[in-house]
Amino acid sequence: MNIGLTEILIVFLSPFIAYIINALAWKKLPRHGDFVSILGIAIPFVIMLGLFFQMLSLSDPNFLFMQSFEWFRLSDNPVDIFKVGIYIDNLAIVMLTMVTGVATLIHIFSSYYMHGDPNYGRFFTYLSLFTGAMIGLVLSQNLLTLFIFWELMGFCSYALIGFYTEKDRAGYASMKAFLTTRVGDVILLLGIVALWIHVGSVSYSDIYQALASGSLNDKHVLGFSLIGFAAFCMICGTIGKSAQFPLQIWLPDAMMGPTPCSALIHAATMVAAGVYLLLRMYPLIHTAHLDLLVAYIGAITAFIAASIALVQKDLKAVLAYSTVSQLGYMVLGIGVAAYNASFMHLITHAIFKACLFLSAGSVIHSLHDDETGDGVQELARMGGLRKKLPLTHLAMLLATLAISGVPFFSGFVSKDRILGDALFWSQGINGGSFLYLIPTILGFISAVLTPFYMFRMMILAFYGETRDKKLYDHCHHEHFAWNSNLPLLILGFLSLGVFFSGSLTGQSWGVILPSISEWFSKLMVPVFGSINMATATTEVLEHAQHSAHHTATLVSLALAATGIGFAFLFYFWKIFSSENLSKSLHGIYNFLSEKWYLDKILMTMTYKVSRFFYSIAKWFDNVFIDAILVDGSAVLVNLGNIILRYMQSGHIQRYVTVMVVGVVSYLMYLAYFVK
Amino acid sequence: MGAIILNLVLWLPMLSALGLLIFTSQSSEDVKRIKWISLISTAFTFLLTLDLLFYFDFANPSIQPALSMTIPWISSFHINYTLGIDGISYSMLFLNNLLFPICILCSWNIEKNPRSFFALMLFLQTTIIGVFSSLDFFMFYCFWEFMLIPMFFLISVWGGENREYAATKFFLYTFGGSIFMLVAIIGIYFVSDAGPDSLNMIAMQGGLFAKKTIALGSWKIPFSDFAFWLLFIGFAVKVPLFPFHTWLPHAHVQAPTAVSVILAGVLLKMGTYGFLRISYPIFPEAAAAYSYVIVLLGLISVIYGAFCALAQTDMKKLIAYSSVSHMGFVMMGLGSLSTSGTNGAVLQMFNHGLSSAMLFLLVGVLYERSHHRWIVRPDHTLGYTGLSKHMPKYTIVMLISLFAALGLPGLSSFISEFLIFLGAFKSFTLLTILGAIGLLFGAAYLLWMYRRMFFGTPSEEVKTYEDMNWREILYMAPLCFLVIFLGIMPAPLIDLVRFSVENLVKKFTVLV
Repeated sequence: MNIGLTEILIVFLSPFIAYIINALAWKKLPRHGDFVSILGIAIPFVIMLGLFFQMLSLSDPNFLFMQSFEWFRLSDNPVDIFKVGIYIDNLAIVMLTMVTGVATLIHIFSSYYMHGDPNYGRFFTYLSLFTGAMIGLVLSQNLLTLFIFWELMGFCSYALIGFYTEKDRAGYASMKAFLTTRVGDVILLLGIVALWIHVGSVSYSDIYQALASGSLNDKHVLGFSLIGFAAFCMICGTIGKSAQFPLQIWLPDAMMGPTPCSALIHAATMVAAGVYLLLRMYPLIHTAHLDLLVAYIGAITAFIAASIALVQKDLKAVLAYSTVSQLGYMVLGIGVAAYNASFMHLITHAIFKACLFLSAGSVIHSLHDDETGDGVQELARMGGLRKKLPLTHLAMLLATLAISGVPFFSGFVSKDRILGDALFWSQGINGGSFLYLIPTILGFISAVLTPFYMFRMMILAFYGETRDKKLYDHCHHEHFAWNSNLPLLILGFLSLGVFFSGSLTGQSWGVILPSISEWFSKLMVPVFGSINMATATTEVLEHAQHSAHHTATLVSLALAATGIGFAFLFYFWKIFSSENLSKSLHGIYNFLSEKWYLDKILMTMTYKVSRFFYSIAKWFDNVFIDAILVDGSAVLVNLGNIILRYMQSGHIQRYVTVMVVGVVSYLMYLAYFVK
Repeated sequence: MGAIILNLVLWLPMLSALGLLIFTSQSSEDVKRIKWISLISTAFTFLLTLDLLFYFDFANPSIQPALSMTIPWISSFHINYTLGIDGISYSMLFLNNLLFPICILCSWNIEKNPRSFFALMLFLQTTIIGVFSSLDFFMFYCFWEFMLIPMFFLISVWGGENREYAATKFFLYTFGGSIFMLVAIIGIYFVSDAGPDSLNMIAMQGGLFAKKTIALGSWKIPFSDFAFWLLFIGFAVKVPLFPFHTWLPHAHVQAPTAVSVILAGVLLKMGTYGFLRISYPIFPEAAAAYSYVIVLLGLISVIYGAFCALAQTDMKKLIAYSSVSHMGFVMMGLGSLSTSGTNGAVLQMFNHGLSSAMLFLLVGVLYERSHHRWIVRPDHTLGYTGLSKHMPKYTIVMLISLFAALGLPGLSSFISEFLIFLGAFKSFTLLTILGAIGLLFGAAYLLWMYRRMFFGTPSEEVKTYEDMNWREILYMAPLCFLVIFLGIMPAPLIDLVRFSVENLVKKFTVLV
């Protein structure tokens, strides 16, 4: 494959150039500079698309393009030379194609959604920086530059979540997002530092090499093995950025931002970065034997978020929790050695989740509440929108089918593979012990919850009768427009499974695009330098894997059908009453709508603990150090001053008195004590 | 020629200050002239500082030969007029001379006795340049102490409501600290036995005191320990290192904006510069022996400063405690005795100079409009709301400054904090990991402040403020540019200091 450095630099720099142009002059540009940002991401997309098809035709799983440049040096010692560089393998190409593609569509949609906002241009400015940072993160050749872009994205999400500055809640949500993710970030930074000290650099290739050579095995950090410590830090970074348990609390609040930015955060950038880090550091985690921890984190996140999504009343909240849940699947996949499937789920999820969020944006934008001056997000005020918004409905339906794991759609292909690998991992590799079964079971349970809450949302929004007549009548009938509908339909179309597996089913039969059949599995292999982590090859294991996948497919098909069926029974045909159920199970219902009390517990704890510490610090500083030690010493000096002043008064009588008292006491001392 | 320019840089502000004294009237014409003379003088000083680079040999790790001079002054006591700079002191000179024209601009509307104000500011500039460029202990000490005079008057005359208390506290505290330093200097003078060189900082380096002891009564202690800790008190007060920091919040809160900027931007660095120039190179044995104490105190400052900042409701106090926290990182880097840690410390000195100056300038901008500094008033109402809607330009500059201060990658402080972590992690793993708490809470208090002030609907009062004017943008622009530029391309600054740092670190590698 011929990758030129110029091409890559164009891909990397275009969004940043667009950012700089818009940051300086969006107010003076025509259309407030939206075309600058759109061009700034469309150009990289076109280039990446070219590279993507080259990758497909080349079909080399070990393709690698690496180049590094010196950034600065502290001394001529190789440890003190800091490098920046580019690391492009198939993973990066697919990732970049997805990021630039999805971001382009989101940019285009934003020109519809944000139209008329007084800060229209500023929104595009941040979008450019955001996508630029994500592109930089994917291109990074080492963990330090990855971290730089990682944090830069944190800043962009902070700015975008707090975009509506008049809303006080936006300020709270943006602060919460930044600080929660920063918990993970700071730990990640420690991991990077530890690796740097012992490996001598943090470039991926050096880390892989050090792992392969085993030179890190006898290194320790505070009594823990270095590999374990570093891997743990990387996992913490992911927990923060990809909203995993227990730091998942920030992502649902992040929907305070404009909807296109939610789409960007939830799909193409930000949360994807955490999973991407795990994929890159996969051998580290595996060597550290932290797979089980990762699997548990993923499974717990998937389950908790899915259960909370069941009772959400806000359109975007349902989607936000579904993101958390799906990210849980990806992390679970990494834990159960489903490297390939996990990455595939990252890509498929990015596409259908972008579609879902943009569709939600389309719905919210159409439902304008004149009283608040805002779009309406509550599901309770929707219903029957299918007739008013047919195109949005179509796109959202496609994406919902995908996320629910219905055959022929992308979510089915990728999620099913994760579950199959999970089953194989717990049964085949680890002998079905209970400890290893739990994550898999949680994964399957979430697979029945997902279609239920997604179809609940679809039915409540688009089907049945409207529940807010005034709002419904106010809503204009949708006409096709390139910047509002086209992005949704493209994304909806790409939610078909065939693009990822070459076959309709994701299985060996129903192949309709043989030229790209299983390109994903063939090209994204877990090979890291000289470490090959492709899964087992013995015949017995292969057979076990096949049968596990077979079982998983059947089970998840049944689960999807059950979930969708119950959603229709409850909300469409209304054979069961959801109100009665929530009343009779109000304990569980409250527990779920209070988000398992996790949010409350964590936030209260943070407030209480930090208030405790800062009150102590304040008291200690004002009273102990300043008043007692510092001013106290001044008081002592002052006291001495008073005494001396009294003695040195200039009155002869006083001097004589002091002298007499002195002499008498001395004489008495001599008389009584000195024998 | 270079040495002459260095002399000019040193004395030009002082001469201009004397020049201002010819204006005896306070007519608006004269006030205008006074301002312009101060501005031109400081700007010219800055240009001359840039000119010094032409004589600079980057690869030379020690004092630049082209930029140093020695003239015998009081020969009977071996006191010389010795000037000289290396990369580290140049970075500080650059920072100082960049901040002074900015400070003149930000004090443009000062009403109370402008002549004396600007004259004192210029006098202050000379004393600070003197500290960073003199290589003779006597001169160093003189400049160090002279610096207190303009500072005292600037705070006690132009300060806030409680200015005299703060000024006196500042004066006594730092003066008290420097007395210990004086004892150490006198000790060095007598113990070194180096004849005409006994007050030369550079000649004292190289383990001259390794085996010397000093008798305190019947108690014999190594001289290097004795002098190191005496110097430590003098410098730690200036840094300020926990528990010697309580003068700082008072001084900052009461000082006028320009003085706060200089105080946070440059004066605090005199303390860490003292470690770099005197304590560490002259007593490397003591530095190596007590590195754990230094890193620990640095760490305590980091965390303690962050928690104290979290408790503040006054903007200036909050930023003052953030300075305690950020200067703690410098001490952690210094104490690590490693290449990356020490480089990080020097960079952090520079970068904190930029970011804290920016924050104080912005507080000043707001204070000029509102005349209060409350984030949350004592009656629990918000001091400001919805600033970002009403003052978009101000908001952008504030965002840059805040994120520069909390060490966002891509802005300058990140590199220095990362280098400090990298340097300290190997020998002080646990302390470094705890230092990460400081990073976390560093973000917390700054964002808390931002959220309280900038979100929500603008209050009636806020609506009366005008956005930043051209003068304010003019003096913020170079700082914004520098924090972004050094965040992306730190190489120019690092290349300036790294040889000098390497030279210093070499002294420890033989010991550790």
